[in-house]
Amino acid sequence: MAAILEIDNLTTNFYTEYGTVKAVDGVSYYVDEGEIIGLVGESGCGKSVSVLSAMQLIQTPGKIDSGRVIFDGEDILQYDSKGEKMRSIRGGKIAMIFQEPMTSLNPVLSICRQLTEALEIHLDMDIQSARERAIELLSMVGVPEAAVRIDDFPHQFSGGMRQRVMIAMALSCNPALIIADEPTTAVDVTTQAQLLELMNDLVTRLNTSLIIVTHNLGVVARYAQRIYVMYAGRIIESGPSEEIFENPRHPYTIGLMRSIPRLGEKRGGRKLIPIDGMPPDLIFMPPTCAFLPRCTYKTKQCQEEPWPALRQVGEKHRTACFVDIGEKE
Amino acid sequence: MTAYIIRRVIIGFIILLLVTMIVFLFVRLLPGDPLIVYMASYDISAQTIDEETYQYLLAKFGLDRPIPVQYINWLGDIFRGDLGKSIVLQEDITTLMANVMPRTAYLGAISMIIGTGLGVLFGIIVALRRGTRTDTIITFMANIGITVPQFWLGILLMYFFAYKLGWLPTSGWTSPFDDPLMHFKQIIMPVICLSAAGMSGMCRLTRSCMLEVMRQDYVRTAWAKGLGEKMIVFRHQIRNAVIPIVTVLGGTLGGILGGAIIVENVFAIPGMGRLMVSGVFDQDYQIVQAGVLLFGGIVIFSNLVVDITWAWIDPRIRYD
Repeated sequence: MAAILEIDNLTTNFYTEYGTVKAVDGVSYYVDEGEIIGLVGESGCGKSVSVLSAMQLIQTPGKIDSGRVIFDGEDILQYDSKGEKMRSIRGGKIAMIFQEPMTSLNPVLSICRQLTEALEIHLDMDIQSARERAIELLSMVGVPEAAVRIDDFPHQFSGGMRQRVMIAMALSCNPALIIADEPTTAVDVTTQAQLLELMNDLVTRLNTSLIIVTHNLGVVARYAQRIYVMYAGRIIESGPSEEIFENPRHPYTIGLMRSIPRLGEKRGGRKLIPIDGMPPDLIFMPPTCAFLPRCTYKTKQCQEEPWPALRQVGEKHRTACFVDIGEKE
Repeated sequence: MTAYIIRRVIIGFIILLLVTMIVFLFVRLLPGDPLIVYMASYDISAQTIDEETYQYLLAKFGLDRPIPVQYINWLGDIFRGDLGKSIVLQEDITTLMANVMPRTAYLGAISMIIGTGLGVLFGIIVALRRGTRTDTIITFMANIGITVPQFWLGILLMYFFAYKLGWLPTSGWTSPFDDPLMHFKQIIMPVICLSAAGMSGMCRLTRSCMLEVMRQDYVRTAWAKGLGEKMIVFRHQIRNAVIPIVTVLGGTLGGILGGAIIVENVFAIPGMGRLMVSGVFDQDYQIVQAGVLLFGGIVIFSNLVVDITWAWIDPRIRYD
């Protein structure tokens, strides 16, 4: 299977008045056709910025400083961000679902208008057939009475329903890839599960690739085939989901695993251990490993040498750590 | 929606009633009274008049009654369509106003259209080019436009364009039917004066609204859909940015009507503003009251229209 999207050594900085924020610092990842990958990390680790950069949706003071985003054999970062070529990719070939369903839809336009405009642009549909397709899409994502609700406005929909509309919007032009940026963070848990099932079901059926950006490990564990863990603007561990969950090799990932409860665990059987300390200030990054101050595995080498690159620790498993934790334990 | 309109109309009437009450009371609280001016036109001064004649005149104009009674009587006349009679000019106010109001309405409408039209246009331009030199210059001009007093701007314009350059007549009013060219030349400066503040305010408001809207999530969604910039600006941004702009239109009209009082005096235009100022100086209660009623009514009505338009643009309000 060929990679549908490949992000290569992407660097995005934000030039603020307080200094340069290194939001994404040399990040590389890829998605295969029909594959679901998870991009995991805590708030501010650069996971959202990396996908927004790929779509060239970064606003000033943010700037993509280097790297390539290969889609369909071409580096789409070379396209003019407002130009014809980039626009035909956005929504047409790569679609996005955003975090905030309450604010991501335009309050003054009807659901119909917001669904049909992409269809008109990318698929050259006329108003009538676009409307029919929009109704079809709405019922596909599980909005009841789609033919009636199509003329409603976003404020008449609940958060979960709006996110369904966003999913319908993303699917509308049969994109090759959907990027879901924290798609379920702002909705309640039962709705989360429904939305994720729906997304999983649809992308599998339509053979669409999916990038799930989230801080929720449970989400990626269930749906993603491969996981990338990000910390302070870099990918610090990557590999197949089971591998990462069974055998995490980076101290940060290990910390994450220890801090989440698991179903079926005896109450009081295992203590949840939070990761001490705070993520580093992205303006004043240390020359060494950024996780060093919070790390319980640190060695002399860690304090002397710069942040290590990713190295192979399994067939598809890579980690950015000097210490071979698997051996130590 | 109907309930909303009815509610707003009732509130509008109450506000208008309160405004007239306040004005009614305040013109009477001022020292002096209209009879002094009235008598002066008959060469009688306040000192020489005998008590009996004075009382007769007070009774003649109904000024001997207690103020609440006067108010009720005046209100009753209004509902019968009678705005009263000017004490000093001895003319029906309805006739007086019918003569002068069209000029003020005409100037006001032109200034309103130019002010909001150009203001919104400039606001959109500077928002799209924020941080550039265009933005700096236009925003600076708008800040000046908002702060400069109208009478001073009027005098300044007169000084340069009429006195120094001689391009325009200093002041006056010619009917467009008599001499269209002269009419056009004469209204240029008053219209600039009347629209400057509104235009500047509108420009600044539009700029900040547009910048606010540009940062919204739904605009990012629109970009992510692959829409072109023009469509995003016109379909997604302006419609949202226009909501707060529409709400201040009522206030802008109020500002222009208030400005007319000054500008018509600076440029010697025989309009409603000038009539009202003479009414104030002569303490001609009836003219002031009728003028305030009319202006207040216009402002309240336009605010009502604004609120209804608002509900029409923003679906979140429509279904209340």
